[in-house]
Amino acid sequence: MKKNITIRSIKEMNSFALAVARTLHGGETLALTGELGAGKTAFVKGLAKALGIEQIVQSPTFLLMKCYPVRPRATHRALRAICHVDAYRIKNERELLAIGLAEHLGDPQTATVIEWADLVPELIPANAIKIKFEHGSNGKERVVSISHPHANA
Amino acid sequence: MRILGIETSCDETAVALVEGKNGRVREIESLVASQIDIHAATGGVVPEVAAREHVSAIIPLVSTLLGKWSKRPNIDVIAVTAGPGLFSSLMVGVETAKALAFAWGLPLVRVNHIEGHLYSSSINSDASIKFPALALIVSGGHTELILMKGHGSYRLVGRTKDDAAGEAFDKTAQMMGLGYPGGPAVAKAAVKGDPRAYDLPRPMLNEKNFDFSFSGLKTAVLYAIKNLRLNVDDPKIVADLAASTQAAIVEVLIKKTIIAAKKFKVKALIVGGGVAANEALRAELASRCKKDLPMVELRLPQKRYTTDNAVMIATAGYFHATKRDFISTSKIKADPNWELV
Repeated sequence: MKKNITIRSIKEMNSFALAVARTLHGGETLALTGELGAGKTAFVKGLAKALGIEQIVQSPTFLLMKCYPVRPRATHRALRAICHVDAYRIKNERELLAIGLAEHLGDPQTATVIEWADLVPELIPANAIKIKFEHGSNGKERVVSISHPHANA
Repeated sequence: MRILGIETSCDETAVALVEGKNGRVREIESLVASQIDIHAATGGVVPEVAAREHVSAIIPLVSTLLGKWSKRPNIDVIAVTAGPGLFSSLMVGVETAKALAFAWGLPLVRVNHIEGHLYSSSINSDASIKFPALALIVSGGHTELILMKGHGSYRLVGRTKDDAAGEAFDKTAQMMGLGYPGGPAVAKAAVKGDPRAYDLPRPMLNEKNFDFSFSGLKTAVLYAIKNLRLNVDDPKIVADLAASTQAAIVEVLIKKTIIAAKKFKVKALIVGGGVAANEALRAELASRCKKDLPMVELRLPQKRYTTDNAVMIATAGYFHATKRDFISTSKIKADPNWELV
């Protein structure tokens, strides 16, 4: 399914992230796109919160990749970790593979979230959950479009 | 005591040799992979990507540093970064350190990457740290305030909730068309600019904690460019915007640091990490310290020790080694999420 949503606050971003989190069972790839400051990291923070991750999710731009354990919950089946990746700083797909992304991508216990996914098209599977973030009509507003292969997020 | 330091937590593969004596540490030699010709060292063509991989760089680096060894080289301790960072990168350093420690029968020390930055201002310094000390660690990946009660005693006082200060420099540099790395680019452009030209937010400055947030500042710069229709091809505009951005980042960092230093009644203020090379931050810290914290010793690292290097890891390793804080080769593990405090 495809959908456009206008988000007007961090609270609304968190609600959107919660809705997406509910569809995760492990093995998913979330491909995030959108320019600087459009809300990608804010979304991942919301996603982590929704999954009960207590650690502060910081921007992974410099660290390239950071994984957070997810406590087992029946609703999320096999999901045990969120792997937060940022392609902003890299030059090509191979660099992310060189740091061990292949181990996590598509792993049935991991949901892999990739910021700046448009920079690494070859790593994004066809069934990825694609989320595009855009600046809205004012500083607080963001427009999010989500393309989800199956769920009604 | 001679310490071999190994650092592979993120982009750089680095090794160094230091001499520690009576609480003072001097660099003997330091090598970073991007500085040496790995192609020549490995005797073959290494693709651009593989050259960035620590695996292909680490052994040539160690062998260049210590010379062609036929027996146990003249070192006493091996110190290695065990986290935080990228697992696969950390593992290369840790496994190499383990193998060398085992082969040469040397004690092994595990060092936290942040701890390395904390000790970067102690390299080649004649004065030992007076405790309690407050450390501001600012880089592309980290922005943290850490209280040190003694060597190895750390307490997290504050940290960024989103972007690190170095990332704010890099991403705003991108918006202004200034290129990468953004920190030096913004600093250079800011020299001729007016720091009061644009009114940018000072995130979290008035909150009663020592946490930071730079994500909103990044967005504010973006909206300033969009809403005021700023022409980022105009060097005057870019200079003013760069100066205003730098002023906002520096002010937030310094104000929170000074308040924390007063609250915890520290005797030393330590700075470390890539952003510690920023001239505006260094100058402003020096003048604010003189005025507001006249009894506090400001410890700034030499600029070459602000980016990731192994000298700082070996230096932190020295202070562990003096307390015989060693770890066995069977116990040490790379830990990508290792929080110092």
